[in-house]
Amino acid sequence: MTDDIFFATIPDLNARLKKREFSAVELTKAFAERLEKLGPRYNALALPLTKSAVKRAKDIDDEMKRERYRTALQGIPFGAKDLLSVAGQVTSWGAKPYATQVFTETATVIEKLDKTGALLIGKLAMVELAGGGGYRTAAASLFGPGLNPWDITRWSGGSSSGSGSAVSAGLVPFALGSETSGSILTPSAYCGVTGLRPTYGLVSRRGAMALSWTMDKIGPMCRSAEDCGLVLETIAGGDSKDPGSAGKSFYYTPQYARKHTDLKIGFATDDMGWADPAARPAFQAAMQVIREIGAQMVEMKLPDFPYGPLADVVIGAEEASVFETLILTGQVDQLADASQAANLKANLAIPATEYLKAMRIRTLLKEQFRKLFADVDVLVAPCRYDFAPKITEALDGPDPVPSPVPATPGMKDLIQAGNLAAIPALSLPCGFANGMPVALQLAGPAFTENTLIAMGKEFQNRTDWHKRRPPVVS
Amino acid sequence: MKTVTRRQMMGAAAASALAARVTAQAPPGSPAPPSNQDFAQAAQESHRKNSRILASFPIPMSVEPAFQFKA
Repeated sequence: MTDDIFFATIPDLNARLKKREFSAVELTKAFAERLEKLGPRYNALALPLTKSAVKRAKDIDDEMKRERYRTALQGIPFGAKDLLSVAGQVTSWGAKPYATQVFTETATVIEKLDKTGALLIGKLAMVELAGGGGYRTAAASLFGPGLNPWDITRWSGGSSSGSGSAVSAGLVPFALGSETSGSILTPSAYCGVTGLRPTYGLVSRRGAMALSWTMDKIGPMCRSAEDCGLVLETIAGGDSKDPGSAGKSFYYTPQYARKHTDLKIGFATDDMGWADPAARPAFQAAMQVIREIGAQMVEMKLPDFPYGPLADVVIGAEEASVFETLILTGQVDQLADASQAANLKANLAIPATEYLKAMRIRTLLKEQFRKLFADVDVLVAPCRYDFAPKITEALDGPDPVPSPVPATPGMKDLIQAGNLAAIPALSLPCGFANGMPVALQLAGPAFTENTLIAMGKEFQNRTDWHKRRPPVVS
Repeated sequence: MKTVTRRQMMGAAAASALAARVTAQAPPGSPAPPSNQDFAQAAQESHRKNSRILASFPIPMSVEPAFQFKA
């Protein structure tokens, strides 16, 4: 097998498995060895699961020999953020107080992938407790700072740090991440992979660490928009054991996608003013590609809401309830990031009335987004307006203030707004700034993942940013 | 699952000299790194700022929280 397989898409790998170019066992061993060898160099590996994956791969080979084909994920190795439980294995949530935690049940999403023949080769590192309290440094993790394969002096992003690094460096064909307020989109953008945050409730969270019951989502981080569709089809679906489940399925149906020329895409000119100057040429070129796709472009801005404080209060109050015991027993002080520990403690004092106020404002926010999506089908904006910071950089340090300051906020709060509004978003690699990947974000109304993926696929048909490979450390 | 927004954190930090002290990475010769007490005070200041902002947002009485209790 050549190095090409480590950067192949899911349909390509599956086709080559069917052609018997290699077996599922060979593919699994190749990825697992690579993950075990290179994963620690990016602080991306939480727990290798090679033995169980190879054993399962033998079953898959038997099935494929008998031409019992399932989906494109059959025989494909993958990794999962260490916030998802696997029965009998350590699930640390990236945090020292839970470093030896073992559950008896496997998360629904991992069970679903297993049933379709995908092979879990490892748990992937993450920011401790998914960064719930807000963290000050990239080192806020049991596994150390997530290192970016494009430059290991820079951060991979969080909180799905290991998922971003592992996909980017070709250690897994795809990975599962989770997002409450940016934790799929940010590492996807910083590491140059394609990440999908599904609509809230589309993917079961049973077996996942809770951070915010009303905002947590699980989604795929992959090599392409199409791969995201294939993985989402498998992991989506109603689950009576997840109270937040929408009870909906997802079928990846690119053949039924609306014509791009029928779509209206909302954008904000002022976004360029908010972007890091080094990233503006890439964003401008990417926006030109979007225009050439032929949709009608509509200038707009996000509804006026205090997105930051809303997210802080909703997540802060819910996580304080989730981790009340950790906080009250003082174990919270074992966290690597002292500012996160302080924030978690302080969040216990958020009044119930304030939480309810935030949730009432969220009702208004959702109404405004419904109205916004009466005028456009998709929003497009830079995913992150900067690129991956140095791991030594304080994450809460000052952002450079753009000069001149743009007249409107544009879409710069789209990550928080989209998470509060429970809508899906897709991060698409769209170029480089100072040698580091940058990405566009497409966001749409709830349950319009097929539209976003189709638009993303068309963008990736016209560009090759998602195919670029980092200089992998050997 | 929650990602810190540097711009957002900086906005909170600007609210007080104390918060400003804990946000920037200390260059040589600058004050000592922030203590746990500094982090606690910064967190509380951030809460106060969030409270002020949300308090100023008008909400009609008919608006219910964005979750449903089902019988």
